[in-house]
Amino acid sequence: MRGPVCRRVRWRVAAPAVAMVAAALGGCLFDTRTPAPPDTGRAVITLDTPERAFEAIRVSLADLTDADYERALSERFRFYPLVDDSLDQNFIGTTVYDAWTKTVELDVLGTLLGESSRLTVTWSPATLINENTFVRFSAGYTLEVVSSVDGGRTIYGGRSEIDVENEGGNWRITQWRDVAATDSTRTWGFLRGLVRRRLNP
Amino acid sequence: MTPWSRRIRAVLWTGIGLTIGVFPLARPRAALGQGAAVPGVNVDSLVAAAMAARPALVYTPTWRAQINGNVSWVEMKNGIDNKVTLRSGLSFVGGIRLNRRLYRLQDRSENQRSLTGTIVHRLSSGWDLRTSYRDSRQANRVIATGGRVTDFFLDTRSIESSARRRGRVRALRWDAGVAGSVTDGRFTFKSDATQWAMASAGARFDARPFDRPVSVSVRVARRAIREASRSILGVNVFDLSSFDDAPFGDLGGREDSLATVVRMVMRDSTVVTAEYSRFEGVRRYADQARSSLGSQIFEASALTWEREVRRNEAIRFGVTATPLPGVALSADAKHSVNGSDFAHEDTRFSETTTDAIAAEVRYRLPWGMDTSSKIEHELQFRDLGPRSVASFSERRRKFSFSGVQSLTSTMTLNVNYNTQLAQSFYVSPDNPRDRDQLDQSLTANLTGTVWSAMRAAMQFTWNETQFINIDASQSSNNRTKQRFSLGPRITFTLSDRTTVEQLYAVSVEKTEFHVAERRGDDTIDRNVDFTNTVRFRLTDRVSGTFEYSLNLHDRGAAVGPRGDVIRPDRTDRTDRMRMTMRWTMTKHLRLTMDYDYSRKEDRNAGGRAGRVTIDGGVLGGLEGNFNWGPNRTLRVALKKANRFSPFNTDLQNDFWVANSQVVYEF
Repeated sequence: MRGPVCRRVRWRVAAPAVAMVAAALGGCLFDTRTPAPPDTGRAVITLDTPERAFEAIRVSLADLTDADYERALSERFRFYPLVDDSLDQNFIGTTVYDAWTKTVELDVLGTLLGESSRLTVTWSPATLINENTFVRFSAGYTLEVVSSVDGGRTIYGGRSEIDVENEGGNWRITQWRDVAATDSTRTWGFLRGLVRRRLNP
Repeated sequence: MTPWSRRIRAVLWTGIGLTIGVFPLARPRAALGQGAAVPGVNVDSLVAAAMAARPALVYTPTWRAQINGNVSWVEMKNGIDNKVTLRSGLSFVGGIRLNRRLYRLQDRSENQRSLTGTIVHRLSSGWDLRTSYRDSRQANRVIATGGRVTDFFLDTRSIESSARRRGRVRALRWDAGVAGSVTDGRFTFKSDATQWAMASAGARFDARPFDRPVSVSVRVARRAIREASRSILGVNVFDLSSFDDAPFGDLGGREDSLATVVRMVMRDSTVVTAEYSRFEGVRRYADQARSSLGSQIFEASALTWEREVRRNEAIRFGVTATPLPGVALSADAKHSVNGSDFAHEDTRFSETTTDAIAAEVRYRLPWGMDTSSKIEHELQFRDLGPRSVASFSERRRKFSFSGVQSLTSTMTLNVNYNTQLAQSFYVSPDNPRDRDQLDQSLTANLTGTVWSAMRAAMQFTWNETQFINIDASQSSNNRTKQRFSLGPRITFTLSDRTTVEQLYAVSVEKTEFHVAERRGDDTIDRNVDFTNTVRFRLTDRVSGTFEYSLNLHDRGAAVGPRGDVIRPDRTDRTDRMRMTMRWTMTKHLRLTMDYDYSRKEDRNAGGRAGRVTIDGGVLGGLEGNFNWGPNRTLRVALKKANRFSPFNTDLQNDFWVANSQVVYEF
């Protein structure tokens, strides 16, 4: 179809679309709620050395907030579980550990924070590779989780290889790979899998 | 190669050549009536002759071996693949793998052994029959720091058969089939025996009511699984009589599924799709008791029977239309419920209900810009059960726009804009995590050829995320994170031997807290990047690259009335250089040399010199690549590395890299 009639018709179709763009840009569909004034707060953890990423996670869990945890993760973040965990009967027939991105990690963290009254992580990171803009840690950890529902206490533990990279001046975690469990506890990655399966049944 | 083997190969390749080359070329032409068959030549007879010419048995072993060594580990991989093909169509593929890796920087080693075998036999006389056998044995041993030995075994043997029949009755096409499998597995902590059987059928009906083509298809599948499991202690968990709810009796699982698809084509340019699908699976198994957060308790006495019901149900409706040339519309609506219910454990209940609608318009604007606008709205309720305080509903709205405009014959502009608002509403008043998150991004990319020897691109990116916690206990962390990036990329082709690529980028990342008490935490990171890469080819055998990159970064508090003035408290500069040289000495041998250098200088507030760290190194050696035909290769590399870094150990500063890989098909 060509000619002035065609152009008029196209304009008629284009006009609502342009209006839709304008409405979206104007924000009428994307207004956020008004928050309550804060009653607590603490200083932010600066990510100026690789080790600060571990501190940000520790403090974030201790506070039961996710702000520093979120800042410590790169947009390229990926988590890879232990083989034993991925073969656990809880995850038969599921793809619970697939495509574990920062978004997934924060969704799982949000549920964990909501269901816990105390989260305490202790780290023992050792450097495997250390370059100017990249560090790989072999980090042993224990994570104590206390349920906010019944006060039940569970310890998770293991060892992970965690890559921390300098992104525009901030050291952020780009990869978290579980490499070993302990004799008596399940890994943090196993806990992650349990929570994600509940979020995506 | 023996003469006997050569003859077999010649016959086999003749057969394959005839099958691949002659069969597909001849049959469609005859079928379409575009050509008459050549008198005296019958394709079927050619195929039959080729089949008959195949040897009664072809045995093809292939050996694979690797030895790799670097600063982190030394590993050896050995394997042999065996392929046996019989004229009857039966084939066997099997392999043995032995892998061992020793870590040099950690007290850790891994061993893997596997044996696999698959037998396949396919018949095609209206029926499609298939049988396969697989035997896989895997053993991993990890010696962790401290000497603790962890063994992991994964041994499985399985046989699987299937039969499927297809047919057609006028406008009704149908297929039906059955399949079954028996698996015997031995794992680190238990051994399993699993049998499953499945029956499935599908039908599709095509009609033209009101002179409009309509098709309706239905598919149904049912699957039953039976499992028997024995713990590492030798106790068959299904024979235990101590379970209170033993009526679950036959442990195992059963899955029933039903899927229905209805598709209607209203007219040539409009497609209306309606789809309903449903899945329900019931699984019974022995499970370990769990704490409130779902962690398992490792005691035999804590075993319980579990009955898990998984269900997915979804209704989808979609329309796509092309009402005018250059204008395409589509809309989708979906309602789905996914859930898992457990009879015994009440900590793992989960049900997600989703309602979503999306609409998209793709059109060409009068000035020739191809655009796409899409808006989506989704409401999701995640019910995590009565024991959880984390159940919440989430409302998600998203708008995206993309446009492509050709400015000249060699210049194109791409624009993308996305915005998404995700709002979470927790059910329990005890959970203070209600949150809004608003994400926006804008990307503009201009690419073009300035003249024949120069290509250029300019990219602008802007991202913004607003984190807004609603409750007073969380709202001190409310913040906006923004990132701008702008930079050109220029590529000069100076000659057919030399190319220069330059990349410039300026980026700013800013985090701004919303409440006045946290303004001291507002930060700005600024980066200036420059990268210059020269790729050259001195002769036909000598080539290389030279790359230099510079990063200037400073960080500081964001001050000023709009938070856009930086008060630097830290600056750093990183210089990097990388050089590579490749000299192809002979057809099979290549000399390589890689050199890298990195210098990072940190300065504190006021410009006082801080720490300077320098690392780098050289890696050079020989690479060999020998090729004696398909699947007959030898690749070797022997290189020496010398590095320097204040963080490295002696082992990390001075090491050899040695890799070799052999693949030989006999």
